[in-house]
Amino acid sequence: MKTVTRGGLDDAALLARCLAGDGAAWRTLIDRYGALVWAIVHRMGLSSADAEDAFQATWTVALEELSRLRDPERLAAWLGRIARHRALRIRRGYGIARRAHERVAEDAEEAWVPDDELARLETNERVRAALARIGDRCEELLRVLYFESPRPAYGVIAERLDMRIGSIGPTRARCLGKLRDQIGGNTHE
Amino acid sequence: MSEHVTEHPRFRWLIDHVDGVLDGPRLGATESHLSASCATCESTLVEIRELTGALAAPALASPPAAVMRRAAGLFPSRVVRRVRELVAALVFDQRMQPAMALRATTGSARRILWTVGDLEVVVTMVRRSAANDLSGEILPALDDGDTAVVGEVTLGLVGGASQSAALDDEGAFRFDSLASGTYVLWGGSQGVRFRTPPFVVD
Repeated sequence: MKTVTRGGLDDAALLARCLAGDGAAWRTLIDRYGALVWAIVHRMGLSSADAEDAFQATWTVALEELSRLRDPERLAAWLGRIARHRALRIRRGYGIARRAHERVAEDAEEAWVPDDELARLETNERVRAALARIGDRCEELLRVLYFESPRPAYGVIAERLDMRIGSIGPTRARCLGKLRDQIGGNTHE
Repeated sequence: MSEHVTEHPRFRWLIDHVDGVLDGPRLGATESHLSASCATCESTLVEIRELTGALAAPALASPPAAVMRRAAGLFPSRVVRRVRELVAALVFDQRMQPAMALRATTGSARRILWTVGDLEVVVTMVRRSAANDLSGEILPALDDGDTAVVGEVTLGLVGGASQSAALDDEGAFRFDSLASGTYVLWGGSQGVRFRTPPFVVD
């Protein structure tokens, strides 16, 4: 029998399991997008303690609203906006605190994650999450090709991954195609 | 095999082109094709750059393990919505502040706004000859277009009957042909159950 680990599920399947009461699916969701939420609340200029509060508040809202997410494909974007919204609420309090006590860093109100930065972070995390789902061989090859800097020579990659040099290019194309399919790209052959 | 510039370059060639390792006749064929502004290939190139850029981007730092555990601990053994019923707080009543506009209303309309939790409950009453129409909307905390507003409201005549309406996709509801009287509106949306203080419809 083939066992599908929760980490191998796409976002829609993971959401469905969460809604069915699967706590392990919820933990996988946090593992998958925790770094994204963490990055956003930190970029909003919060103190460490407030960033932790914003992180918890984000997941609290997400849990309460999970059943109302219209399009599971937009999960990362949705979480990103909740995180920004929750961090903003806390940061607004900074303005009040500063006016009252003059104790908060001057740049707190200027901190903001613009939409294009938010979109870039979301895309990066969706791609990384998809990479973990496309299979060991592809994940291994794409990690070597794109994560390592400088990129190893094809001869080194071939030896390390026990592949023929001539198959690296076609395999890379097939793996990027699988990755694109996972995140819902077009169908260029 | 000859390669025709009118055919789409293969996906692999486009990847090699982005990586700057495409050469020979394939490079010529691909560049000729791209110079004709092929929308499909341009879109694929954008995707490839997005994918490879995302793969090459530095990994984001993970939150501390304790923070992750706390978030994981939010999940109950089964998904039970934490339901609270809150009394909505009056923020604006056009009858009390007739000179102040709250969004656009017609001359004879009365607009009331309550807040409850992160929700706004907006009600508009329009007097017709012998009855009243009441419409309204529940505005969510996260008004982002991705979060559906789901729920229902019930309008009860104090000492009389009540009637319910489901919120539509925009969180709007409507009750027509109401008799004059004192009403209470209650319902639930976005994980919050609310009840307004009594208000007069006349």
